[in-house]
Amino acid sequence: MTFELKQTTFLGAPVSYHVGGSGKPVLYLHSAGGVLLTQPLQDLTQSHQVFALVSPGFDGTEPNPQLSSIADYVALVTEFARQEIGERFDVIGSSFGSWVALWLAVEEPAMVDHLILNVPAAFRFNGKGGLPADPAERFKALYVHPQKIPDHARKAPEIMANNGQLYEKLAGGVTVDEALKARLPSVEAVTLILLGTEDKVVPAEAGEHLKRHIPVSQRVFIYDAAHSIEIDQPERVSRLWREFLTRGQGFVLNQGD
Amino acid sequence: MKFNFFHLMPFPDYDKVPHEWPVSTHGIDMHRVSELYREYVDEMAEAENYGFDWVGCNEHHYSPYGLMANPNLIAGSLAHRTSKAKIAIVGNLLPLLNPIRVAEEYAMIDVMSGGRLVAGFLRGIPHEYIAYNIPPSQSRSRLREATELIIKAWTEDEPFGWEGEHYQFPAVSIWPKPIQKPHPRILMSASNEESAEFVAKMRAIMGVTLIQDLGAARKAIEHFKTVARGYGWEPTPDDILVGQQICIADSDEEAKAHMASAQAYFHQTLMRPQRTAQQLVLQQSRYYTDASVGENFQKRLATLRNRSVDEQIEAGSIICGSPESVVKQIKRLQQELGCGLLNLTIKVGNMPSSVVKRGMELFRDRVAPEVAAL
Repeated sequence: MTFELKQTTFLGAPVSYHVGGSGKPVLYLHSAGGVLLTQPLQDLTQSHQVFALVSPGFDGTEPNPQLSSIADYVALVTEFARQEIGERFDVIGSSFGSWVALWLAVEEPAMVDHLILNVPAAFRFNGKGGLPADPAERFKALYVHPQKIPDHARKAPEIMANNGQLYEKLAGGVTVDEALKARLPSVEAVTLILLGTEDKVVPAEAGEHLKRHIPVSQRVFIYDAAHSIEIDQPERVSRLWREFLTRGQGFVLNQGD
Repeated sequence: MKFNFFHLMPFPDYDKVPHEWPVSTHGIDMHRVSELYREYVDEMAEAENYGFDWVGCNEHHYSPYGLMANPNLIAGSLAHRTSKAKIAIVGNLLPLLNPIRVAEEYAMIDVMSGGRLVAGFLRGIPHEYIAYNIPPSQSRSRLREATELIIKAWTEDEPFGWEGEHYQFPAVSIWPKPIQKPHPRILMSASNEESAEFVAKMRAIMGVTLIQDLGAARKAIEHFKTVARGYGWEPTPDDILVGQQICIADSDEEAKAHMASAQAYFHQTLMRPQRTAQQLVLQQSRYYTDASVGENFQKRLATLRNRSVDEQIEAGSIICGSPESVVKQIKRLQQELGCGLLNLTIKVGNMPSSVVKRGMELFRDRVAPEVAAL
């Protein structure tokens, strides 16, 4: 494994994070399912130093009772980044993590260089999308290719249930974050929005809205992927991350390599 | 002298300043686009009755700049709606496309029109390479190989295979072959020395556009002629096509006012979104082998954008005025450049269709009779 699990303290409580690789720093913000050290994340450590923060309480870590909203979590992420990463870095969010990453980008524009929003949450217009309550349906919504889930990424049901509850607490039942929506035009980071063609959790309208309102943004559909794009199509995600983080807007240009 | 009624098929109603390329289609009414296709194809089909010898279309992607992603579709329509004008496709962007498909579609158009195709083989402008995910650094080598493959596909009766650098086709035999023998006339751009070499080698018609001043254009044409002599032939005026935007109205003042307004839309709305993408390609790829050629290309665009209508007329960049003024300007172009073909864009930007129509009438009645014999 290319990552090392570390611990630090914020707001009087411990915070865990995985760190691996060397190079330009990237902050990775996980989904409601907690951290999965997926193949794209591991690939990224070959060119970047990756910090995958574990939101307190997720994945069996110690919860922080002071965290009760997205805003609280964004404040923690900001302090974590300032202390552990530096003044400016790239950010990748996954679903719930993309929601947090966007808030970080609007609140702290000087910190975020490139921004990647994987299957971003918080823009489920008209209540479309979302995770089904039924476990079997939920599983189907997450994966087109469940056989690709690596063993290390399979978590115990009680961990997953606890992650889900923590997410619900932070999300506060929001389907569209109106305050964030109003601030999208202020995003300064060069942004890449990634969506799965089979994703029923994040409706297509979310990606369209973000593309239209984030000033310098590009949107890519990943073919044959559901909500868990990093699991369903790891090579495609890995390539897009690498190209975008290396070349920014220029990643659209085929250099014939 | 021969005249091409050239159409970009611009979208004339874009009410925002687009900030990026590709351009969003949000809010665009496709029924309006449907009307535009009807209006534009009607104008093009009518052109042969207004003194134009050719009718021309071309290929652009992902923006309101032009609604002709595939000019061959428009040419297919024109093949049956016209009877005498050459159908000039100026042209398919060969490096972006499957060359066998181009060979087949061009051959179909030539046969459908009874042998009236002028086959433009263009490299395209830099940002178009993003549209079809082709490395810009391969643009020139793809153009060369595709050109030679298409000619083979047109001229070889027996099936053949092709094993090239960019293209491999184990078995080719296109149906139909073009009517024109050995094949339709080819038209290519030769605005710099590197491209002039290949155009001369292929004995193609040389196209020159974006004229910044007549001296520079003359130099490019002379260079082409010199290179052509090296390949054993002497270009005539019929081998040199010069592209110009044109506005003809009843008076000079009226024409200039229409042109100024249409060019404002052309530069600020239609051309605006491409600039960033273009710069990206020029900075991050070897679209031009020589970086100074790329800088010169951008400089020419900027110069033309910043000039007044009067300055552009004076420089020989556009044709604009009353019929009498236009006749003088065309004669001057012919004398200075020795060109026998003029590629005229009458629908500039959002030029109203009534102005386009009046321009066509004045061209037929008062310009063509004066210049056709040049």
